[in-house]
Amino acid sequence: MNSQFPDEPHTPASDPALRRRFLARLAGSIAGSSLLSGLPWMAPLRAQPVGDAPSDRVRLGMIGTGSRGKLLLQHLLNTPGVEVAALCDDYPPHLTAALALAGGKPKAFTDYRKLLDMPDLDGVLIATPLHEHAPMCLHALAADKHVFCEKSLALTVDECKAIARAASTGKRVFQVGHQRLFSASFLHAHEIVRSGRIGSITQIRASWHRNNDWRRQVPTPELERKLNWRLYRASSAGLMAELASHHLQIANWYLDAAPLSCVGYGSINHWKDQREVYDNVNVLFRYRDGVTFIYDSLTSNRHHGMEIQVLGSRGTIEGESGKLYLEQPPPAPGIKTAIDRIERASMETIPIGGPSWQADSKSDALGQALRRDLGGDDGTLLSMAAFANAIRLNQPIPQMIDHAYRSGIAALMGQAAMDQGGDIAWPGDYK
Amino acid sequence: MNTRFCMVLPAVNVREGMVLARHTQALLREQELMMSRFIPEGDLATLNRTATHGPAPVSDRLWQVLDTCRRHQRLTGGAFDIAQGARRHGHGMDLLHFDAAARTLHFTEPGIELDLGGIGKGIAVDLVRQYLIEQGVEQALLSFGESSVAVIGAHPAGDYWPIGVEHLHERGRSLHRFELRDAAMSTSGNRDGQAHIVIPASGKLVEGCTTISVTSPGAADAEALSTALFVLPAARRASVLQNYRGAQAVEFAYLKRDASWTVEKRWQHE
Repeated sequence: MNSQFPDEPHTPASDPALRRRFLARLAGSIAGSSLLSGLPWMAPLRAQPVGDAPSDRVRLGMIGTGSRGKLLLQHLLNTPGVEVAALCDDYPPHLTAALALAGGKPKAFTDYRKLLDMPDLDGVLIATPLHEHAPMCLHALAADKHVFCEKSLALTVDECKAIARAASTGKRVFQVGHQRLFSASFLHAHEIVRSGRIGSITQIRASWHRNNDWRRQVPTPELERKLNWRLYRASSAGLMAELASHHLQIANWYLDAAPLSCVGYGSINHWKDQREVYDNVNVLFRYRDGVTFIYDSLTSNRHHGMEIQVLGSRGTIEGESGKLYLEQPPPAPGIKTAIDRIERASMETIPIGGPSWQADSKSDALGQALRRDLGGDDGTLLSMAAFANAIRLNQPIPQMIDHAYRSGIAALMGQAAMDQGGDIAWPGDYK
Repeated sequence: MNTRFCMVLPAVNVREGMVLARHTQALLREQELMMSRFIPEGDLATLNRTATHGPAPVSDRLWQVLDTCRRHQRLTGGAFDIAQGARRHGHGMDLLHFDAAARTLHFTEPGIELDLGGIGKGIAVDLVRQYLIEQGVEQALLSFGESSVAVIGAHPAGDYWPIGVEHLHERGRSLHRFELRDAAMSTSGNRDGQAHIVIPASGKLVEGCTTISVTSPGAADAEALSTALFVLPAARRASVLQNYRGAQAVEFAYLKRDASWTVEKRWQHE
């Protein structure tokens, strides 16, 4: 039974003992798996999870303890070899709750710069409103801390460039909160894409639909812009940054490229409540070789939910539901044998006869499930473990800055295209 | 029909092959529409819904199929029966009232449903084979879900197609070889834990892991016969086989000992 959340299943994500075994097993399986070891950002996970010796311990601070920060904190508290040494939030109710969750042990701060002054702190995790990412990341890197920053990277193109530049010139670990980089089915899908099994990718489509006002309860009106920061332009890039950046990261990863340009339309057509960010976004990205990425997001209808479809000339991958559909289903094994025997002019018996082969079910007759074997984790648990291990090894995680930069910039291109109209070009590399 | 159809045409070039494949696909779609219980607007599904309430019209093509089924019911002494769901065991197709002059069918008891699962693939394969022969194809191997296999002519390297009954649990291992030339093979049986064939006489499912494979010149004949032999006790099979000239049959029984399967040839007719 999961003691924190009694209704949730018993998984490595919820049980510290299970998690320790899971991470140890994973380290072994990564060492032996071409799938995972081919991905540089999985390398830190090859290190065996460590014991509780003080020398093995990584001391981390959390900046931002709202909803996402609290989730990261829960994972961190159960990650072997991690000590949550400090917590910071300028909203007292969140800080108090986080402190209670951590058993009152971490030092509490309301000013993140004070937290960064702690000399024996190895790294920080930043889960704050988007407009705060840049100053916090830059300060933390300047203070020689390892940094995990939640997605999306930052509120402006210049800020994204500044963070990426600072992170790439330093020697510290910089990681972004794109947990799909650590998700079993997205890793498997990536392997299939690279193998050419679905042919060359011609289009990627993704959408994220919800039906709610995206608001948080506000105790007093003056806290509106602070707690509902996602709804205002000074602190947020709306659905593009908060939701689309995840699927943009997948598109950039699978296409191994950044988008060349973007067009789009957006509107506030349902939640007309003084918010400043669109509740309906529709963007179209152009990649090299004429490949396109089509994305839309709504907060007024949830029927289609969330999905990313990778379309190739020989097959389709649906990433969120973890399914592969081939345009031509493979022939029966007996038929393959028959063709082989004919080609070799062999009269060996063709073993083919048997009771009727049946599709598993009519609706998914052609679909094959992608791997889902990383212990029910959506990648968040593993990304925390990878961050801690990378710090312990003091080895930056390769390609992580590019993932952060490309998806962060692409989200802002989409927002700019909807705001300005016309074609928004890729604003160039950060180097 | 919730399965896959494969064909190998060794002596046909790619362009002609693609045309033949497209036409074959269209033929199979038509057959499925006519014979499926699950396509609501199809001939059989419509009949299943309406014939309980009174004499229902039957399309010409479905009439022909039902006529074939009646013939097999007679030839197998009732072991082959497409009518399911009768309240009294031992009754099936004898509860159907065919009016040949009016081309109507009436189910004289409620609850009855026609199921062509024991012959439909064979009927479709025969039709495809006929089409390919008319198009000048001289060599072909056709497989409909592996349970209905038919050949045209002979393997390019010999005088016949060497077609094997595949071991249920060891892919690629042949248990018995049939030498087919312009002939068909059908296999009826249970995969492990998937009993699905009803014994008309008792209304019960055939249990146990066994298969019966039958060859005969026609695929529909082979399939109807394999379905019938599968539900018949061995002692009664010989008399039924007298009605099917040129048919051969073999039965395999699988037994699970500890974790592995053993298989034995239990019965054979040549």
